Formats: sequence, structure tokens, C-alpha cells
Amino acid sequence: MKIMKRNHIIIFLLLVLTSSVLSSCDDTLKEDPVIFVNPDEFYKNESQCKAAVNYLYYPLTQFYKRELLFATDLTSDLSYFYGTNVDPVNFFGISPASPGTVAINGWTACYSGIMQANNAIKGIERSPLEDETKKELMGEAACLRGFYYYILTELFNDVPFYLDEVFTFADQDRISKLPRMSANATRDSVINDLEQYIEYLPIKLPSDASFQRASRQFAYMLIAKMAMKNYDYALAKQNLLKIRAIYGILDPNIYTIDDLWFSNKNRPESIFEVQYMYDPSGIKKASGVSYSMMPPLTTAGTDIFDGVSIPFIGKASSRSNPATPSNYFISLYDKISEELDPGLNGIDLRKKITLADGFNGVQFDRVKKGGKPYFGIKFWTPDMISTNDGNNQPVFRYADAILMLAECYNEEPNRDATQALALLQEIRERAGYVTFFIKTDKKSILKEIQEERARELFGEYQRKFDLVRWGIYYNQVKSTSGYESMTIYDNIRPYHKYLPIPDAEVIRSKGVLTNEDYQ
Amino acid sequence: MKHKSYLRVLILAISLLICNDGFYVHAQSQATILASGKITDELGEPLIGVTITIKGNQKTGTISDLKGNFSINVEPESILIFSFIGFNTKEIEAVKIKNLNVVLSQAVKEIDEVVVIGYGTAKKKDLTGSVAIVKTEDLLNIPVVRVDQMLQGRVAGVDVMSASGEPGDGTSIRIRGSRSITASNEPLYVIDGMVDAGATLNDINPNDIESMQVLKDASATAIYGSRAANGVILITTKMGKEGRPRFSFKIEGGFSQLPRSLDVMNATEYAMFYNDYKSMPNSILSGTINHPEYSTSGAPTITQEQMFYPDPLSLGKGVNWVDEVTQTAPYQNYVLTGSGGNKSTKYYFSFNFNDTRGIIRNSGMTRMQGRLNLDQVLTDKLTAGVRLNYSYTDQDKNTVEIGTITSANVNGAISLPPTMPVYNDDGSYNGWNPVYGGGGGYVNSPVALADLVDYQIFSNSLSSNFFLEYNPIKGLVIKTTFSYQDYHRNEERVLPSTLPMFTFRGTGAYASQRWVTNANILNENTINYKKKFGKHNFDLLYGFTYGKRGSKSLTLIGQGYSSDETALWSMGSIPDKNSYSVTTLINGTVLLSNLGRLNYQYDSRYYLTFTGRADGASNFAQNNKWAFFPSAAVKWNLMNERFMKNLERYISGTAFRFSYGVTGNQGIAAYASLSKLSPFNDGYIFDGNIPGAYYLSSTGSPNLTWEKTTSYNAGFDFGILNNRITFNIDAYSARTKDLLLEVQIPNQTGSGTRLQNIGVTSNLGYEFTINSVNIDNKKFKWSTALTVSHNRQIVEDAGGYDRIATYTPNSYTYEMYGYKQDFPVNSLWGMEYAGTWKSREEIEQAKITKEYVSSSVLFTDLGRSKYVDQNKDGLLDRNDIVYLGNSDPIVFGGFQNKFEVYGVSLNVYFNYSYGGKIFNPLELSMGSGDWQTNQYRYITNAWHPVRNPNSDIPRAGSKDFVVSSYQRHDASFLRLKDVSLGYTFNLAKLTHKKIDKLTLTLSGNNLYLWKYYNGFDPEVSSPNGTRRIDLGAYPSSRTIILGAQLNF
Repeated sequence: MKIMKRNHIIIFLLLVLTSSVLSSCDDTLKEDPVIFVNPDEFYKNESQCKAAVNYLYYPLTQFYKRELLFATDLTSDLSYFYGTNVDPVNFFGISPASPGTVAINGWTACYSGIMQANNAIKGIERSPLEDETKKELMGEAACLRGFYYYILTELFNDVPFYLDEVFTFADQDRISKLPRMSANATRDSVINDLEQYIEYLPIKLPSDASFQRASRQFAYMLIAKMAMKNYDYALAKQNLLKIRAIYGILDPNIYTIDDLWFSNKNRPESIFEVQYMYDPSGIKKASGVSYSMMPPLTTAGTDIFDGVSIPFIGKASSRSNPATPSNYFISLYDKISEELDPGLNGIDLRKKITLADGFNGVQFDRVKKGGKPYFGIKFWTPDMISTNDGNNQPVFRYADAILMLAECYNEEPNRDATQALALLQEIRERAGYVTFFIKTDKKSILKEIQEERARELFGEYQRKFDLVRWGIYYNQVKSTSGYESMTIYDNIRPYHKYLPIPDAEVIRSKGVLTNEDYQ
Repeated sequence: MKHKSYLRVLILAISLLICNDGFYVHAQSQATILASGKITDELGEPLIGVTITIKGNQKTGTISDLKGNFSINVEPESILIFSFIGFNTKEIEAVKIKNLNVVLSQAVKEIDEVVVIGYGTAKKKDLTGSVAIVKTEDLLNIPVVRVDQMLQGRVAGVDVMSASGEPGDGTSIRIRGSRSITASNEPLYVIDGMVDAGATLNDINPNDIESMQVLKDASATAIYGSRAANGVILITTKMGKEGRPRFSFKIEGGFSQLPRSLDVMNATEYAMFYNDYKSMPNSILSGTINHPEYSTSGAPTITQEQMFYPDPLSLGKGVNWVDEVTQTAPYQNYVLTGSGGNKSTKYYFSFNFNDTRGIIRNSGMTRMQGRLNLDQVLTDKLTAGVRLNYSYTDQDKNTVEIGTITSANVNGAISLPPTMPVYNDDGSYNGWNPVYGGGGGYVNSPVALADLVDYQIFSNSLSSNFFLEYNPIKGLVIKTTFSYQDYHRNEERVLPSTLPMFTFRGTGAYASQRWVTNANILNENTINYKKKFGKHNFDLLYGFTYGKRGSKSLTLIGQGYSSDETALWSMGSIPDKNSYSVTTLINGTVLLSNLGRLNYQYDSRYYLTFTGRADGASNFAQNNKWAFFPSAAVKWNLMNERFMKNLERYISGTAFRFSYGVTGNQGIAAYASLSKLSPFNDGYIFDGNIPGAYYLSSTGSPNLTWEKTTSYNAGFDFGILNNRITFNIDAYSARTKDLLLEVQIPNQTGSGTRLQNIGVTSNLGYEFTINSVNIDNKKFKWSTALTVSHNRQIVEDAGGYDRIATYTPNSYTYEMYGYKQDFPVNSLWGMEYAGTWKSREEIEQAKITKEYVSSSVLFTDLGRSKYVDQNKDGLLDRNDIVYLGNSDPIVFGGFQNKFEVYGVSLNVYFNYSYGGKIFNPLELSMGSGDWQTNQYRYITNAWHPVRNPNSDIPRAGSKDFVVSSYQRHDASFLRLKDVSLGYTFNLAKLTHKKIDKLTLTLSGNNLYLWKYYNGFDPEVSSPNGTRRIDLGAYPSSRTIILGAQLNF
């Protein structure tokens, strides 16, 4: 009996011992994940740093597509959209409570990009890479961060601004309390940030297949855009001239008019475009733009669009309500023709690709009845499947820079009208004609530039931003598209020049963010 | 018969030994009478050795003899007490006893019923915590594959809901309400000691279950520590008994069907509706109705022939898509069990083949399962045992879109227009939905999906549990168990190129495979010591456990295969590597625990229990690796008090219980507290390829901690008339703090949410159970059981946030379900529907009074929906949202009736739920005049400028996608849940004991439902865990089964 008892004690002690060994051994409880990395253990080599930068492009595809085009071009003076409860008509009913998808997605995607970029920049800074490589990668990240701030300020005007990394809850708490900062100050800060990296960025073109990244030209263009928004024409000009030094004159043989087709990817003129691709058995990333920019499909399963066969689009597309060009926009092309040669209709090569009366010489039914043309091949997708549009979406291209430069020459204190007109002429020459300018005063040239930007850049995510920059958004839209659509006329308000910050964000910020214009 | 006599002699002998005083010899010579008679049990069998004493004079008495006879000389005024072990004591006045046949009734056995509790057992009467015992015999004939589905309404305080009607799909169980918001609220399952075995419920054969206990209060659950906050369900499987081998073989066959259809439009009605939509302008105020019969201004420009559907009447009923994809599905089940043993070895084994076909075509599940339970006495102090369960299941997953408000409404079986034909003229599957997107488009129809898509899940599951029990001295048990669970699942799915949409797009076949393996190891070691000092009883338990869980998965997905046949098994043959993806995952957690319990009991009157468990878990955050969960309980068994003796004939059991404790919820997923830089494979395109990318996917939170629930429970158990009627009442309150919430943070931080310990919820409720034997005689027995449960649950603190969405429909700005401080967790939110605009004047007036408002200017039109403008600002926005009810019921429970007449048994079981609310999200399209989907039939009464200008149902085409009281319904119901009718033939004599008996059973499940809800069933949950959301769930079926069981 005694031996037994001793055994019990031994067993008991063993149990207790094992238990305490296991319990005290906190290593047992340490997590050792292998499906992700601790940020402290990352940024150890170039490929890791590059992988972090690669991610920064991803948020672009979350908003730089159909919904943004609606907010910039399809609710502008150049075009509007008929539909029952489709976005654009509702667009003029936006409020913080229903700010529309572009406000929601744009806000979320841009800030996601900014946070990841901030982290990547700091991470790369700490990495053991060589200084040159480091700066190049940091610069690339800074370009994207800058672009996200640019879009935010264009869409919302004043927004919270920060360049800090976000790794802890405390970081998040601090950033959550940031109020709106003046858009001008944001733009200045972004320009300063970009300038410290710009020399390290490579001068490479998107047409160089291996380089579809943020280049030095991209940074110049971004600075120029923001400088112009801040009415700092000298700084804009300085950067635009650097771009001109790279691209030269707009030679129609190099920079062909077909470059304007969205379906032609990464052409010589491109400075940056958001890459999309739709392959039913491959990469599926679609912008969704085309199907609002095509004539309406007459019969599904065929390639008959409003009575006309368009083999270019093919038989697999889906039907959608088409966007409508405004009479004002159509008249802009005709105006040139009228001035130049009243008998020669539609000489502007851009008109033929931007607008479509028909296809292969056959007129659309609507046009036959005396109606408007639809939007043209510039926006169409070859062999489109359903609504999937794999075309790249343009961000910056050289013609835009030329027109901006023209504007700078015209707006500068020491104005140079000749230079401005020469640049305008360069653009028109590619479009197939030459004009002579009768009025060369500042106001007239600005008007020419405003109209030229419409003809050249319609559908390229610029129009609203331009109208707002020129301070003519409300009156211009109301007197053009608004004249044709009562919904726009009745509902457009001056404060629509910027989007409201979504209510959800206002609530999350616990009232730090406000929408004063919308109250 | 003979051995029975021996037994009686034995009892007599024991009685004689115990009664050492020899009290029966004190005969008195004064004026006495002779009381005599015979004592029998209720069946008339004589009772030997019954003690007969005189009240007030315990020293005097006698015992009955071998024939049950007795005689005693007593004073005439005395009262005799008849007492016998296992029988109820009886008192009779002596004068009445002259050759009297005294019948003693058997005491209800349940009193000493042994109940499994965490890491041990207890007598039912000694339970201090709130433990509900599920009567498994009531459940045996219910034709369901899973054990959890049997529990609906059976246990007070336990709200069981099928997540869907698909064979093999699980349930959503809430024990005493929901506590957590983002973490799981499902209970912890412990099967034969294997903790957290809930994932394997599909692998358990319900026939193998010996007992099921539901641990509800903290006193009972705290021994499971950080995983116990949602209650614990203990399942114990059967064990053999000493004796000859006994076998049973059961065959069941039957069918299930869709119990009811939805009241939606037929083709004629839909065509008329669609014509209405097409003929009405967006703005009736300013437009013209283009309809041959009606026009608001002037003559219409359209003729009947030009209408979208020129002749609606010719379309007839059209296609009923739900009918097209549903079927009457066969059910078959075979179970063979064997058990037996001797003094040293006991065994139980079973084999089961179950084939349950689903009511949606080509869905169902087949299970083959085997079990072996073995106990072996090794030495007089050492026992070993094995519990082995192996199961193989082959699940044909449903491939059909039933219909939701998201993208699936373009090809959902409920929502597809009846005007869309099933087949093309050439017999191929039609994919052209004539109203998709306004102008038609291609979809994969439900029929095509059901017939063409192959989606199978194969699972192999092995659960094993080995234990050694060492019993060195009396009262001391050292037990060590080792459990191992090995689970493999392989999901295979092929969407062939012949699907209408694939054919149309020329995309080739889609194939995916997913391989999952889980391996769980658990080692538990306990020391249990029981000791009795006089009336003091101690029961001590200490244990420590080590558990490791791991899972790995591999997923391959490819699209674009040129051959449907080889797609699945030559996944590498993909033409374009960009449309081929490989995902791998690995995940592991470790849990270390120390646990202890002290039970103290004095004289079966006063009880005291303390338990505690310390858990250390790898998934806990760095600064909070260990957690401690204590509990305490007291119980006063009033019945055993002396002063209660006089009341014994009326009251047969009374006890008060009170408990307090803290339990946890380990809602923290593995690695959730770490800062993560994750690879991203679906990023940006560079040069036609998507290179690898890394991004910060989660911010680290080293202080993350588990959720803690502090709960109190007060219970009262009461029995009358020899426990023929018993009542259990429990009241509880629980408060859960440090809720793990995906807190919404401003998106300007770059992330929309983060996991934080924020917020408090509370639950307050009562549970009430009555079991009664209403009639109990030889020919007719009737017993009932009723459970009533109420739970009130409130979010006490939402962490300073206003209202947080738990479910927001696609393309809607605001939440449909969400929580807010001072409201229940599962609250419904929406606008207050106010009918339709009827006149221009009304619209003009509303602009001034701001009483009503529409979602936008566009919708401020005749016949379109208006809502109450709560804050009178002329805008319909977040500020106009009101609370529309709680999706959890006020009262719920079940009502069981059991009859036995001449050997025929009849079980009738109802369950009910009262006071919950539910949205029918489909009405956002199917009840709003959405031209893209079929409509509920009530839309035929929708507003129309000429036909129906007074209707409050919005007109054709007025879908505004506003969640409101319009889509909200009462989720109350009464369900005739189970009925079973059985008869047993005693075949022992007929077959010379070769066969004992044959039992025939006819049973039905989900037979009838009384409800208000206009969807299929208000008992529905979404896959994402939110309760009572109807997002196109697989409808639950009605099942009828005929079964036969042979025992031999």
C-alpha cells in the first residue's frame, strides 16, 4: 500500500511538472506564420522593394474607369447621359449621404494607395539598397502617392494630407483626426515631395513595352497639372518644357492620330495610362467604359448597333444606354469646319474617331432620322465580350502637355501669344488642318484652348477638372448639357464642382471631416 | 422467473443484515390490532423485503416476506410507513389495513440519472449548474443527417436554426442569445472528450449518440474557459453493456420535397407588368403613358402589337423556375449496430449508410460511417478505452442560384422572369434572359447550372480517442486521454463550356479543386479525487491539456479549358497561365490549459462548486497570451431538509441554484493580432502580366484580447406528484465586454477597418421547461414537454460608434442589418414606408410640409414610393432611418407530445418562435416593380394611373432600392416540426428468441408551417453568420420516412 501511494505521488508530481513545463513555455504559444511577412522583416532586397511598389498601382484600377469618366466627362458640358436611375442623372443629386460610387471608391482607393505608398517609401528608405536604386523606387512610389493626392484634390478639393507611415493603431488614430487641408497646400507639398526624387526617375516611355510605370515625364506632368491648378504657370511651364524636350514636336508621323484610340495601348504619345486587359481565358481587368460609349445594340447576339453592323465590336457585347454628346460639343468640331471651309464638313480627323454618324459608310438609324451621332471608335473595344472593356484608360499624354503649355504661355504675366498659338496649331495640324487666328487677346486664346482641349481630350478624364480650374464649371454645364437635359438644368448647383466627402467617412471621422458646401 | 426469485431472496437477506436491530420482535400485548396484507409493485409483482415501520416509533416494524406478505400488531391509531429502495414511500393508517394489497409505485428513475459534465460526470440531482439533458429517445426517428438539426426547440434557451436546407449544411445555434458581434456565437462541441469537434458533426451517426447535454451557465461551462462563452454541447456515444451480443438493424426510406412555393407572377401577369413598365414614362407628371388602352395625355403612339409582349394572355403560366429546379428527393438510411461485453471488455460498433438527396436537382449527400467503441479493464486498477469513428461523405453541392438581391437576381430561380423559356427550339439550354439589363442578356439559367455543373465535395474524417484510467485508491482517478482528428476534404468543381454564357462568350470550361487537410491533436490529463467525510462530500478535479490544431489547403482554379472532360484532372493544360491560379494556406494554433474544479456537498442539501481554467493560446496577442476563467455556484436542495418531509406527498423535488462565472470567446483568428505584409496576386498589369506585389494587409494589434462574458444564473427546479410534473426555471444575465470588432475607421488611414476590443453587449433572459406525464396507465400514456425561452439582448456600448452595419445590400448606401448602442445586436434598420404618391398636389404639399420624401427627385413621381421624412429636411438619407425590429424572437421554444396506446407510440412535436422580424431582401427587386426580375404576385395590385390609382404598392418600374418597412416581415411561426408513429412487434416468442422485436416507424419532418413571412421560411441564416437573413438560401424541405428496425 505504501509503495502504491508513493507511485501516486510520483505520477501526480510528474503530471504537475509536465503541465508547468508546458504552461511556462511561452514559445509554444508563439505564432510563426508562413503566409505573410512581418513588415520588419521585409524590404531586404530590391525585388522585395519592387514588389511593394508594384502594389501601389493597383488602387488605380479601383477607380480610374467608368465611374470616374462619368464624373469628369459624361456629366460635363460635352456630354450627358440619359437613363432612368443611372449614375450621371443621379449625379446632380449627389449629397454626402449618397455621394455616388466615384466619391466612395475614389476616396477609398486613393487613400489606400497613399498609405501603402507612405509605408513603402519608408520601408525602402530603411532597406540596404544602393542609394540610386533606393531613390528611384522611392520616387516611383512618390509619383503614385502624388497622383492619388492630385485626384483627391481634383475630386474633393480640400482633403486630409499626410506622408507618414501607418504601422500601428496609434498611427491610425492620429491620421483619423486629420481634418481637411487646403488643396493648394496639398499640391505644394506634393510638388516639393516629387522634386526631391525627380532626377532619379528614368526617362522611359510607356511605348517601351517593358516600362509602363511612373516615369520622370509622369512626375513633370503631375507637377505641371498641380502647378496650373495653383495658378503657378511659371512652374508648370518649366516642367512642361522638360516634357517637350523629351517628346519634341507633335509629328503626325510619329504621334499618329490613331494613338487616340483607347484600344491602341501604350502608343508613343502616351505619358501614363492605366493598364487594363480583358481576355476571357486570361487576365480579366476591365474598365467598363466602352459600353456607355457605343451605339445601342439593336439585337443582342449580333453586331448590329442602331441598325448598322459594326464588326469591330463583334457579336458578343451587351447592350447599354449610350452617353450623348452635347450639341455644344458637336458644334465645336463643326465650328472649325465652318470657319475654315463651310462646304467641307467634318474635316477634323478627331471628329471621325470621337463621334460616329455610322460605320463603314452606313448611317445609324438615329442619324438618319436627323438625330445626333454617337460616340466613336476612340472609345470602342474590339471583339468586346459583354460589357468588358479591356482598353487602357489614358491618364496623361503629350498633346495634353502641349495644350497646357499653350495655356501657360497665354496666362503668364509676360504673356507670349505667338508661342501659345503655335502650340495650338501643332495640335490642329495633326488633326488634319491649319487655322488662322483672328483674335489674339488673352481671353480669345483661352477660349480657343478651352475648345481645343474639348476636341482633343474628350473622354480622357480631364474635362470637369479643366472646367473647375477655369472657374466656369457651373455656368458652362448649365448652358450646354443643362440646356438639353432638364434634370441637369434643374439640379446642378455651383457646389457640384467638387464631390462631397461620403457621409460614411464623415461619421467615421467623428465629425472631423465636414462638407460645408453641401449643407 | 426463477432468477428473479433469487434476487428477491438476496434483497431480503440484505435487508435483514441492514436492519441489525431486529426491530420486528417488539410485539406489544396491549390493545393492538393485526395489520396484514400483501405488497406489490404497480404490475402486481410481490415486493419482498419492504420495510414497514410505525410512524413516530422507528424502532418498531417488520419486513415483507418472500411472497410480499406482511403482518404486524400495532395500536389502532398508528400510521404505518412502507418504504423500499427504488420505490416511493407510502403511509397508511393501521385501521385500514386488513388483508390490504399495498401497491408501491416505482420512484422516478431520473433522480439518480448520471449526467456527463465537463471532464466528469455528476448525478442529475447533484448538478449545480444549468445543464439541459436532451432526451435522445425523442430524437431517434427524426430523418436528419446531422445531430444539431435535431435540437430545434428541444432545449430551453437554445435557439437552433438551419442555415439552409441543403443536405449536409449546418445549423446556427444560439445558447442564451448572441453575445459577440464579429466572433462566432456558435456553441462549443465536445464529442467523447474531443473539444471543439463541431466541424465533424456531419461525420457523426445520430444513432450512435447515447446522451447529449447542453451546458448553459458559466458554472457548467467555465471549465472550458476561453471557448465556452457560447455554451457547450456535450455529446457522448454509446457503449456496450455486459451481456450477450445485441444487434439492431434499421432501414429507412422516404422522400423530401419543397414544402411550399412563393406567390410570384406567372408569364401572363409578368408580361402585363412588363408592358406597364414599358408604357410608363420615368415621370408621369410630365410624360405620356404610351399604352394602347391608357394614356395620361392625348392619344398613345403605340399599338398593342408594338408592346414588348403583344399578347400576354397567350403566354399562359410560362416557366416556373423554382419548379424546374426542384424535385421530390429520395432518402435512404441503413444502420447496423452491435454491442455487448463481459466484465472486462465492453464494445459497441455501428455502420451507417445514408443517402439524402436534395430537393434541388443534383444536390445531396451520401455518408458511409463506421464506429468502434471499446473499453477494456486491464487490471483491477487500470482501464483503457478507444473511441474510433470514421466517415466518408460525398456531397453533391447545389449549383443553382436560388435568387438573391445581388448579381444573382439575373439568373436566380426565384427571380427569373417566367417568360424566359428553359430550352431553345433545338433542345439546348436557353441562356437568353429577355429582360436582363433592360434589353436582354445571356445568363446561366438555373436549369443549365443544375444539369451541367458538377460540384462535389469528398470528405474523409477519422476521429480517434484513446484513454487510460488509473484508479490507484478508492475515489482517486487519474485519466489521460489522447485524441487525434484527421480530416481531408477535396472539393471538385467543373463548369463546362456548354453553359449558355460560356458558349456565348467562347470562354471554355472552368475547373477548380480545393484540398483541405486538418489535423487536430489533443492531450488531456486529469486527476479526480472523491472523498466523503460523514455528510461532507468532496470532489476535486485538476487537469492540464495540450491541444494543437492545424490546417492546410491548396486551391487550384482555371478557366478556359478546351475540353470539359479533362479540365478537372489536367489542370495544367490551361491555354493561358494568366487564368490559372494557385492559392495555398496554412494555419495553426496551440492551446495550453490548466483546469480545476471543487465540488462540495453537504448531506445532499448544500452544494458548492468552484471551477477555474487558465488558457494560453497562440492566437492570443503578444501581450495577452494567458487568460483565466473562474466560476462558482451554490445549490440548496430544499427537498432534503427535514421540514420538507411533511410536504413530500405533494412536492417531490425542490432546489435552488445560483451561479456566477466568467467565460471567454476566442474570436481571434490565428495571426489576427500580427502586423501583416501579404503577397497580392491580382494586382496591376505590367507588360501584359501581373507580377507579384506586397502590401500591408493588416495593422498589428499586440494588445488584442479575448472577449469576456460574465454571467449570473439563478435556477429553480420543482417537481410535484412524484415528479410526474417537473418544472425548471432558469433566469440569467450575462455581460460581454471587450468585444472583438472590425471597427470602421476613416478610410483616410488607408484601411477601412481594424480589429479591436470595443464594446459591450448584455443578455438577460429566462428559460422555462415543464415535463409532465399527463396520463399514465397500462393502455394509454400521454406525456408532454414544453419549453419557453426568452432572451433580451442589447448592445450596451458600441465603442463610441453610431450605427455599425452588419449587412448592407449591394448598391444600397445604408445598412439593412446593424447594431447600435441600446439596440439588439441583430437589429433591422430602414426607412419608414409611407405608400405611393397619388397626386401632383400631394407632391407639391410635401415639398412644403416635408412630411414625406422619395429617394431622389426622379422618384418623386406618381405611383412611386414615398417615405417618412423623419427629420423633415426634404432629403431621404441616413437620418431618416429608423429601427425596424430585432431579428431574434421574443419567445421561442418547442412543445412535445408523446402518446402510447396499445403499443402504438405517437410523437408530435411543434416548435415556435414569436416576435422576431425579418427582411425579405428579394422584395427590393421582386416587390418594387423592378423590370429585370419576376415580381411577387401582389404587384398585380400595384399603382397604375388608370387601373389602380389608389394603390400603395409602387408602380411598375419604380425600383428605388430603398430598404424600408415595406420589405420587413414578422418572422413569427409555428411549425409542426416532427411527427412519428411507431409500433413494436415483440417477436421473441415467435422466433424462439432469435429476434427480439421489430419496430416500424412512420415519421415526418417539417410537416407544416404557419408563418407571416412571404419568403420560403423565416428560419434562415446567411452563410456569413448573420442570423435570419434570407439571401437566397437553399429552401428547407419536408421529409416523410418509413423505417423498420430489427433487434436481435
